[in-house]
Amino acid sequence: MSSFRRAQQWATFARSWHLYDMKWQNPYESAYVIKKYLSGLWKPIYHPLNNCGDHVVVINSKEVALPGDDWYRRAYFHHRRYAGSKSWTLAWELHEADNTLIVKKAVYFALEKGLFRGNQMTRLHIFPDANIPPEIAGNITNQIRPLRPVPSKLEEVPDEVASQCPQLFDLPADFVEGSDLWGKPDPERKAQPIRTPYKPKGQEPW
Amino acid sequence: MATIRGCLAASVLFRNSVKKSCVKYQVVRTVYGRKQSDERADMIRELFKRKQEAGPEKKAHRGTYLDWNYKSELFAFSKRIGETFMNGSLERAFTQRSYVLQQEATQKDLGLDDPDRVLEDNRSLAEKGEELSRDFVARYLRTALPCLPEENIQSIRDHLLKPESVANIISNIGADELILTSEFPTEIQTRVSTFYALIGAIEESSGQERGALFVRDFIIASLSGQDINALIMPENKFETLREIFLREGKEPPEPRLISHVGINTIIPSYRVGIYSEKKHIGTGDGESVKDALDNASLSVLWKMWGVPDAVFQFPYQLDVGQVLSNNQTNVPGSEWTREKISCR
Amino acid sequence: MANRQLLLPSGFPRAPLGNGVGRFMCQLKRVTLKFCKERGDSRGMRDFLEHDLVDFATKHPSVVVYVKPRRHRSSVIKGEYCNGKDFWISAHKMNREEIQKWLHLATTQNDGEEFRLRKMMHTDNPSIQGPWTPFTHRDPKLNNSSFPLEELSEPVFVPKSATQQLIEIFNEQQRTARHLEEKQGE
Repeated sequence: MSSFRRAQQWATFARSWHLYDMKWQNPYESAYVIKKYLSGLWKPIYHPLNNCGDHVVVINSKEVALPGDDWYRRAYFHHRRYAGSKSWTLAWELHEADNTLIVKKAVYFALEKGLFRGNQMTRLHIFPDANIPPEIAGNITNQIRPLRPVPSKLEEVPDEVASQCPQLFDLPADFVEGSDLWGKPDPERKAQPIRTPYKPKGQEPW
Repeated sequence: MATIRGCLAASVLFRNSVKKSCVKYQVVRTVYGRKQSDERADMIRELFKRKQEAGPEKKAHRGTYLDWNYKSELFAFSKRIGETFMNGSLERAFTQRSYVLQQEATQKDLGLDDPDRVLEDNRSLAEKGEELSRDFVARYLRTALPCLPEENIQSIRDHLLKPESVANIISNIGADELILTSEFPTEIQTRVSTFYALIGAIEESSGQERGALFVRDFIIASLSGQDINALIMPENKFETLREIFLREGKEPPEPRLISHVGINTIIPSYRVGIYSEKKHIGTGDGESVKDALDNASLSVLWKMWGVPDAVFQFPYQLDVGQVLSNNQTNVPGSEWTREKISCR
Repeated sequence: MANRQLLLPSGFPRAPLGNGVGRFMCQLKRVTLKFCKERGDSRGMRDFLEHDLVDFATKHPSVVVYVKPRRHRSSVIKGEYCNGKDFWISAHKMNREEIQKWLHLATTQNDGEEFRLRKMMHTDNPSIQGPWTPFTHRDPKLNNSSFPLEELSEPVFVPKSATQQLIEIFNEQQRTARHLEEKQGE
């Protein structure tokens, strides 16, 4: 094989670097888009046994948007393999502890199970905000389009534009300027795991 | 149980050792008692030890076997390669100098000194054949690749006529055992000279064209399955390209980095394009910018020299008469321009 | 895949020395037919020697045929090929037709060696238009841009918002109203 052909093959199997902006995106939908790039499914040379996955750099994982009331309904189960050590962590708690974990777990469950999954996960780089280290930023050569448009917040709208907007409804009489209209999720509310652990009927130990 | 298994293993060993070594024992198949079994096992152990000490068996020449008839072999060989030989020239082509000397020595030992029984060796035939093949291979390559610089024609010819590749041809047409030589197994140089002598013998018997046809069908055809482009590698690729453009009086080619991937990793890939007068003329990939530049220059050079990568099909069936009448040499690399090629 | 296939040497179909690119050369160089003159299991071989041997030898002048009688051993076909490989098959209790078929195989194959085909296709020039790379069909504008890019930060398909739809309905109403006014004026 000539050096020319060898370099051609090198280029065919070169790993690209893609950027994905997670701002206001549903992580569980986006995970399937990221999966396509992490496992190389978008390439014509793809084969399940072919190690041709790309790198994906995810930014703004802090500003991820969960659907519905998933922030306080979705629980992440963990067991430390000690008696009584099972735990259900709510999504908002997990996000407070580490704001990259929700994206990481979403992608991990989206990827195909198998020996390649660990390697593919190492090619996923998640950053909570838009600050990427320069050595990683230099590699990026492509951007994956987001799935949903990013809505603009009222704070981000300039005052001139906001003042022109007519008032659409009357505020309640007891509304205090500057307070949150809908309030925050109740942290005392009990965890409701979406997938309840399997319990065979009539097999309770007591 | 263990004893039985040991006996079984030993009996297999015994059978093998009897077959392979030259020691002759009468094997009597009886039901052995304890004593006989032990004795037999001892004997097998001893035989095995001796066999280990003696080392691997020596390979014997095929000619020492019972089913061997040299004349029939020669006849079949000439039919196999589809050639006819006159006046025992085939036998002469297979006779090495060392064999002649060996025969003379044995005849002297036996007291035979018959001047009529002098054997002729293949040295003159080999010279003739080597000259023809060197000349014809170069002519053939020049006819097949008229745009290629002369230096590259020479390098492909040297690759084709390497002693290893020529010797490989001889052992793959079943001629290795037919060589009459004092050494066994035959050395590479012996096989090479036999091959050239074979060509010389064909030339002597059936004429130059027939000899050239043999060279075409066996030496040139060995290029099939090989990457010809890998043999066409100038030393300084981009410099060569630049010089050609300067010689043609055009603007020098301009390399540009078209794309790159993973430049801060240990597995980067770069793609360089070469432009001339704002037109894209070639692309190349590489792990570094320099490699990519070299490959891009190569792709342009190969296109200009008429051997584009992955598209070029080498012609293996050119007419021998036409090749032999081609007396032109290709343009040397130091003077190569596109105008000189197009005027041909 | 069974172990037997895994342990076989693997490769691609090949022509030794580019056989047929130049001239065709029968790869079988000699064949030895071993048989017994008395035993029944050599009957087919004896029939073959009696009826077909001369035909076979005339048809294949490039193959040296040796016939080797040996007492009280079963019959065997042994072929030797140009590349030095051997082909051995026991012709024990074979009839004449079977021996003919085995000899036909021996004369038509490269060598007797078995190997596993690594793939069902093989080519020296995998792609004429050039193999795919990540740069194929890529917008060259991306080479000089820094990421994240403004125009790639939007989804491909953005559904109409309620505001947009309201504005469209309002505009449509205005247009119809104007149209009606024009008609009444006539």
